[in-house]
Amino acid sequence: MAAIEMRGVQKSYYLARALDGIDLSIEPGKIVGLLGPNGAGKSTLLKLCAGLIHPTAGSVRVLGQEVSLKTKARTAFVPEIDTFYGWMTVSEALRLEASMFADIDPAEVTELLRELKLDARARIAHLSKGMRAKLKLVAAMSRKADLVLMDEPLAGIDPPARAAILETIATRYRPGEQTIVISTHEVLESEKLFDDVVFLSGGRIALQGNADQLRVEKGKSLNEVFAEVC
Amino acid sequence: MTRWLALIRKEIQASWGPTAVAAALIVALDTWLIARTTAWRIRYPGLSFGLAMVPLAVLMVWTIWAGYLAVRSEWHGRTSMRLMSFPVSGRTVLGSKIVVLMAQFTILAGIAVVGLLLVAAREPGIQFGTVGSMITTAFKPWELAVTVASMTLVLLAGVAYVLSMGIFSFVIGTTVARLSGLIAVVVFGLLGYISNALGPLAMYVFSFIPNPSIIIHSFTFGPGGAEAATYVRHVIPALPFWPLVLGSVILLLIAGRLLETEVDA
Repeated sequence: MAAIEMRGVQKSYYLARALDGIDLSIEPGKIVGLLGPNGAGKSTLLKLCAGLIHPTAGSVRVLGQEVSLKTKARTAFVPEIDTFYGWMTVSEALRLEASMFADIDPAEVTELLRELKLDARARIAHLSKGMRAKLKLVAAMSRKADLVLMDEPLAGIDPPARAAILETIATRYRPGEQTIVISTHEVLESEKLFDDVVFLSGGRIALQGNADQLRVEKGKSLNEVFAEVC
Repeated sequence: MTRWLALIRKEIQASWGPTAVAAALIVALDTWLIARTTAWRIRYPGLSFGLAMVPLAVLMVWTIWAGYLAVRSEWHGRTSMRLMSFPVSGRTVLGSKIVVLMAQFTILAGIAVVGLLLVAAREPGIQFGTVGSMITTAFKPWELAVTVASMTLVLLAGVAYVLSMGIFSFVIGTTVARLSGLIAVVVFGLLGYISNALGPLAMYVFSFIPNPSIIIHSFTFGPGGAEAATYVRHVIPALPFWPLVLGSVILLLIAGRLLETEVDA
């Protein structure tokens, strides 16, 4: 059973086509890099998997099922934008997450907050962009979600915070049990995480495959392949 | 159910501050009016009572916008994406919003009505004692209870419908990329027109099932004035109740479905 299965997926916003005939199968238990420039369709693809939008044509299956409330319960979605309520404190926001997702581990929440130096009593509106990005990560990685979808988790974050985020993903990932899809155009820093990669360009899949194999075949780093393909 | 309750808790957390401020303002206004009634009773008779009605009028206007603003805030704050990534249906999300909005309305309207009665009791122009004795003479206690309960139910159904109209209009507005605010206003206007046009038909259809009843008494004064009045009892079915409830449910179900289809903050 594929973690994500897409067949002939198209997504249009009025006249603009964001995704154009995507056929994709992502194996479970891997970290997959969804790479592409701005406007390539990465966010749209992740939102389709998260059940936030629906395809104009084609089918999307997540964890072997049509996208539904059941798949949402097993999926952690980390959007690029800040979607937490600014008037809440960190602990209130995480309590809301815990009441929505049965798979959240309170001990893991405490541990991650400590590791990422997040104050549970801090009001979210008062957090820096980097801290808010870390909070998104805590909400996602403290769960035992089968599928984690991360949309540009490193965008606009300073280098130390980026390093902390990548470190957390690497250490908290449950290989073989969990699938993590990370969309990014900052390939250089994150490429060591990826088992597989999918390059998107203009709403189509430009290239996909095993990260190590691609490096060997092309004789280049993924960052160089990215520059060549996208 | 647990998730719905969590959403309700979130809505209460978000709204208790503004509700407390509004309640304090109403109490302050009524306290001031009660203090001024004696001074104004000769020069401005009835002014205190009129001013005490202002909070209720403001609440009615607030109802028109509250549903719209409650959903708009999720888009404006870009929190709609998180909300809809939770494993909850659109109707659950909207249901939690409308329940808390109605609770807000009930609390504030309750405070405003109590304040109005307290102001009215001190107004010389209003024969509060006479009105009270007429009511207690005409109504049996259970009739009074049924009437107050029915009127409250119909009022709340009306509030729920107007809130649902606001929510529905905003959600329709989000389905278009541009001019969403204008589209929402047009949809709200159209809904008002359709409700007005179809209301009598809907009330006729629902007149065949049991409705909440409002009991009133017409009276004629005898030679001894109010104390010798004769009363005739009338039972009026509150026909708008079921159409308002059904309309609210339909609007929320459609808006909830649309929410599940496309959330692009």
